[in-house]
Amino acid sequence: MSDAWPVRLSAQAGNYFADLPAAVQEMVRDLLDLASHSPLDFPQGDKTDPDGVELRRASVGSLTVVYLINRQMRHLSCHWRSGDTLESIGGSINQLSSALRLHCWPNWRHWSSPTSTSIREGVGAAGTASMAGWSFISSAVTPPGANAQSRAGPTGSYSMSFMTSAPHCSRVAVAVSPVPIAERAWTTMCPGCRAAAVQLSADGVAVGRRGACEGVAVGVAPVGAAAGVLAASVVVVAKGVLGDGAAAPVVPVWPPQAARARTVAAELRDGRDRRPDALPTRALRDEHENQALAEYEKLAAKVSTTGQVWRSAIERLADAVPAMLQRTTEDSESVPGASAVVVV
Amino acid sequence: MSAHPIDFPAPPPAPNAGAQLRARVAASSRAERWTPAFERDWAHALEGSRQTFDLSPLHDVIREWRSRLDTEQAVDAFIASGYDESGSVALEEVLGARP
Repeated sequence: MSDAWPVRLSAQAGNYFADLPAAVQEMVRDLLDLASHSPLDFPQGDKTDPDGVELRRASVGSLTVVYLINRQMRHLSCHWRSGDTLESIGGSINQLSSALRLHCWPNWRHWSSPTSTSIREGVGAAGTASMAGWSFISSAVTPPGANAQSRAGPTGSYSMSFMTSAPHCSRVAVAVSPVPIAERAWTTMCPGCRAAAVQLSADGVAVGRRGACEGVAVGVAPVGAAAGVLAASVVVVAKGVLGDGAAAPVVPVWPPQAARARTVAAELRDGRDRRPDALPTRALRDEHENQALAEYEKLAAKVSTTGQVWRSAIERLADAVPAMLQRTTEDSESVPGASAVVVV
Repeated sequence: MSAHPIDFPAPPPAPNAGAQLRARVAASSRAERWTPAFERDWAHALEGSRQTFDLSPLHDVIREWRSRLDTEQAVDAFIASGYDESGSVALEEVLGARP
């Protein structure tokens, strides 16, 4: 059973929605999808109102959706208002991508992809290596009237895709492509490790190289208006792609950060429970810790601790006991009636 | 008529947008609650901007409060109607299922 909350629109909102341009409708739908999967992730509409917890405001740029979390009926009922949507849709993309980063990431398991295979395919059990490569969450928001296949330029099209993390990737990658969809310069899949060959060719901005597979390419590339398409920040996080004929690098496959943190913490707890007195061996310590330990030992050697005093006292006492016993025996023999008590 | 190209970002808010917004907040029906909240948000964003040399926190505050003020009437009407949902339609009916 899906745990998404169904979305219902008020009549007024429905009429308004029906008249919106297709691109904006798509954006609203993305936004509502986010809201329906995690209604509480969007901020309260009026934070100063203690009774307004159920009224949430999902906002992307100047596009705002106000929804009520109807717990009785278990659905969201939506109202929204959009400012000059057409004017601000370009700016809204940045907003939407950051909204996705913020809101989608913890819940990315819930996302299904409208265009390609389901995200679920790529998830697998946390901690296993079953995560597939990049998957699209949403793609191709194309302004109305623009033919994505053939047009480019100042009035042309842009494409927008959101990707979940690649196996090598510890962050969600959000990319706003400055090139028309047809060119697909940045979504080339690597056949080997299935990460994306990220390549942005507009305005001399190139983040990541096709056919290179090293390092994590992190770029925030301002794509200027001179590129003629979309002035937006492009945030790309990608671990590179296989080189020509090179062996695949050994990269750990991590589940998403939140899940991973939970897994690691749980494993650590379990491990401690199993072996409460275990300490990391020297082989597991890294260089830094060894240095720290050496320094600690050097410093500690200069200090006589209370324990050392006690231990040496006991050792000396233990050494002295036979002699003392012998002496007391001699004393008691020489002095009748005297007794010796030795406490160790 | 606004002939701004669709695929260019919205221009940043005007320099006096904060002051205008403050006046709108003060004139709103929830002024006594919202004014301190707005001042707090604004001061916080201002401090962030000061430290990062980046105006986007302030722009975010402007965007957020603008949308809050813009939606105020509709939300008020909705609350006044007792969260009346009659006549509502499912999203899928308006737009159809996802392609």
